[in-house]
Amino acid sequence: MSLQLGIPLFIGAVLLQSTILPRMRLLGGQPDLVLLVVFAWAMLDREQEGVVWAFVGGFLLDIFSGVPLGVSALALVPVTLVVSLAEPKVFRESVLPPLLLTAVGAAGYHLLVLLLLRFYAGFPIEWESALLFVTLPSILLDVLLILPVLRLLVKPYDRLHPRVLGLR
Amino acid sequence: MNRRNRNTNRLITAGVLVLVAAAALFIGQRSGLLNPVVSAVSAPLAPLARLFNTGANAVEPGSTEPGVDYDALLEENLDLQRTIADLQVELVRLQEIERAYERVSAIANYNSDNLDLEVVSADVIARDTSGYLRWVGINRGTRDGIQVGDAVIGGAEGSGFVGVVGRVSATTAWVRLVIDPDTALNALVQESRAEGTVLGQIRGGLIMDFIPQEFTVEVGDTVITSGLGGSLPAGLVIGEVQSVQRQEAELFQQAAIRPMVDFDQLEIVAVVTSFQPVDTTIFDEALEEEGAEDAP
Repeated sequence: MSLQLGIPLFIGAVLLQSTILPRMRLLGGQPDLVLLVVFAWAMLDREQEGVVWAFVGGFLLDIFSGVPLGVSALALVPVTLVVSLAEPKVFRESVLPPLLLTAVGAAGYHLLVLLLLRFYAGFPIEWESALLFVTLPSILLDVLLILPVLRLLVKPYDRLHPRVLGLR
Repeated sequence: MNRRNRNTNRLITAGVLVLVAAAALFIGQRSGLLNPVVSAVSAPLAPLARLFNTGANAVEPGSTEPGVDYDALLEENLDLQRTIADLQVELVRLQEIERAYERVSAIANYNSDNLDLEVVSADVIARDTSGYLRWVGINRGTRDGIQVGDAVIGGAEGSGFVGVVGRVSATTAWVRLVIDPDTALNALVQESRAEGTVLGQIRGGLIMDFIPQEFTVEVGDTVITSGLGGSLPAGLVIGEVQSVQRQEAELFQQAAIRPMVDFDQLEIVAVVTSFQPVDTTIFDEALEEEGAEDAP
């Protein structure tokens, strides 16, 4: 993703996630827009941009959040790496893989954030309430929204990464 | 590049980025070295966040009637909210002064440090993105005299206790709301003077725990900060008692508190900058010294 697209896209996603989406909580959870954009890009990505944007998005999230700087980036980079290891073709041709990988990736991300908040930053976490009233609804919303986000990003991705066809 | 090489490169990139993030977390937690970076990024984004937040407020139901000068109404409404907030602060202060006066006649040298609050007003520009914390970002920072630990009041209904400044940069600050699960503050039931500890809940509510059984706490009673511990001014309104759980076999009773502030609609807050928290670290040092002397 070029900087001209990436920086405004992630700033916009972070601002939406910190201003408008908290007002649209569903059962205590809210969609993780930055995670969705990062995951969608990683699913389309044939290079290694996904993890780089996971790092950038994570840092921007932490700046617009009460969590200590580094927590979101530290949680988002490894799960994005897992998401990006699959063959991009899989995500373009069927519906189930992006849904499954988003569920697993979002669960991993939330779990890492919770573990870092509890055991590194020392925030008290009520595990049952946190998992039931924040983590689960957020994962559900992420799964519901990954396909529209993926669809929105396919065209910009293809425009920025035209396939080079070789002649034999 | 074949797939194996590509995945190896990804692994190396991710490893490096994880190390950088871990280093940032480590450094950020232990020192303020990264504060200039946070300030540099958040300062230009704060007006944008405010714009987004104002947009979000504007699309709230009932705000788009045709033919209405919405901006003028909004401004008027904000002025009225400020006036109401000021008056309610005044009311609660006067009630506290009255009660304090009743006691001061019997107690020599009674000194209430929290009667003259100087505040800096700020707009709420962002909310915590993690979902696990209840923090809000405001568009004032160290340049406006705001420090970590400052009490924050406000809310559409008036002088409610909003929370405490938890993180501050030059132009922005993050306020840990009273409903944050990390909150545990000394509080007082205004009517019965029963003391207890107010705890934030992850679902947004408040519980007042450790209220001694001998006190009668009733639904509708006002809960205020007690000032015990010296970290917060006394008399800030936290909320009102919604229900009371009292069991004879227990040492303490518990009350559910309805916060005075509607945190979902929080737009303007006031940061109390004049209150000087009591430095309790001297007691910690004294205890540590005692412990060292007692050690064999």
